[in-house]
Amino acid sequence: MPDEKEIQQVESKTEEVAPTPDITATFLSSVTGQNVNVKLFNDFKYTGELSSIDGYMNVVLQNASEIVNGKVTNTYEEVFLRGNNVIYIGKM
Amino acid sequence: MTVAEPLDLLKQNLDEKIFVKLSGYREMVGKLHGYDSHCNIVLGDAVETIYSLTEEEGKLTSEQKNHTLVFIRGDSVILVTDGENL
Amino acid sequence: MLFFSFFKTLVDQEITVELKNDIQIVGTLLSVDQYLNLKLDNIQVDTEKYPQFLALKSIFLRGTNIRYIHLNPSTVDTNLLQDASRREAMASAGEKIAGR
Repeated sequence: MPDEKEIQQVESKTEEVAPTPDITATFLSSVTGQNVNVKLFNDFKYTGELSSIDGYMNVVLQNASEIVNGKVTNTYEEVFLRGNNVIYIGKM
Repeated sequence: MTVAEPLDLLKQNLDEKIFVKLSGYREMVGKLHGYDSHCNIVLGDAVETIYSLTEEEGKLTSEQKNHTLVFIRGDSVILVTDGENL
Repeated sequence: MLFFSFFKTLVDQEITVELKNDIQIVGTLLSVDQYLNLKLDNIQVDTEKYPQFLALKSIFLRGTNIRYIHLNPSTVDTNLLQDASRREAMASAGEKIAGR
């Protein structure tokens, strides 16, 4: 039968693991609604207002410009970017 | 405050025309019939555009194909946007 | 799980699979798994271009190699698929909140 001391040790260990997901959530909520640059693996850059983001780094940008080799190649009113292609999301 | 999920953009576009950019310089425009969280997509009456550079001159050319109903595996998907005007 | 269920309804149908290396394979869908790996029977490939397929009749195809699967519209109820997508989206949204 685990005594109170052992139970407390187990509980404090689980508390040590919890903070990591919170840091991710803090970043995600801090960047929503901001103007951001998103760079993809194919070197395409998208700048726009971050409408939503999820834990896989899937992103929806509003009024986004697509920039290839420094030139604007497309603009999108609302675009979904698949998270696996994202290198970084930076605030402007 | 609950922020809308990015995949909601796909949900909103069910039964609507969407534009999908895929790896390998490919694009698809078609009516969205189904999707999942992996971005696997089923498009109806789709037009596929494949871009390439000609060997000699390095000119940008494209080839188009029609597909009545096609399943696209999500791992090829780069971006999805509205395709109503295309 | 949505497309796993979807492809289960297409067993015994003829489909055309386009791989990421551009090879097109026509075959009868025998079975599918949760990773969308496929087993195809009576496969037809352009054997002039790809002679390595000459001896093959039935294959196991690893799902990660697939780019497209071309479907026969008469075998698919698109309205059902749309409804299923909406339900799957609601279900996974619910799970995300619960997971937090």
